[in-house]
Amino acid sequence: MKKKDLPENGLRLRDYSHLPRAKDYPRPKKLSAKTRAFVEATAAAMEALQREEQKRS
Amino acid sequence: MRTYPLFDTNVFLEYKTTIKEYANVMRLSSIVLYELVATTIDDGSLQRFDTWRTTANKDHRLLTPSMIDYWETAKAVRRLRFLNLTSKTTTPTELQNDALIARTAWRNNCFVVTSDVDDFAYLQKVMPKLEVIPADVFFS
Repeated sequence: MKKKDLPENGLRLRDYSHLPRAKDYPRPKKLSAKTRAFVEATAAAMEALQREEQKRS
Repeated sequence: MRTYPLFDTNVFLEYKTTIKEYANVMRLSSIVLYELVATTIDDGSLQRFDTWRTTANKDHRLLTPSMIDYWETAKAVRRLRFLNLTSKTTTPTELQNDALIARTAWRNNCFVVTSDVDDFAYLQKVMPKLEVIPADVFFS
């Protein structure tokens, strides 16, 4: 998105071209032990969120 | 340029199956962790969040506001109110979490990924170095 117009409410429409996208991050060949632990914990936390959502529905 | 994504709470809720692919580059906000944990029903989930917290901390990825962060964030929210960019009925605590997430993001070379870009757009007026991107754009 490259618009920079000013709408009536004064908020500038935003240009995100200078920020990375998820696909811009290369897959690491090797992770440190601490980072690997964090990555695994993140996956487990996301599964927990999934279960929480199912319990609420 | 800001380097690391800091995901807002709503992004974890909406993109939970996608985020784990980018865990190696993300940072974790303790404010977001608070919001996720405070609404947890299951004890097993709480245990997983605790492991997530400790591994994030050991890998220097857990971003927690300092005393100065709270002070500077309070002043920023105060400026928002003086600029009449918030409703008179909006309490300071309603803005606090987003403002603290924003503050810790720019202090730690991060940009905020969120589904509520408009809320953070107001904060950018008093935190000019804050970078924010909508989640659907980031993951596109």
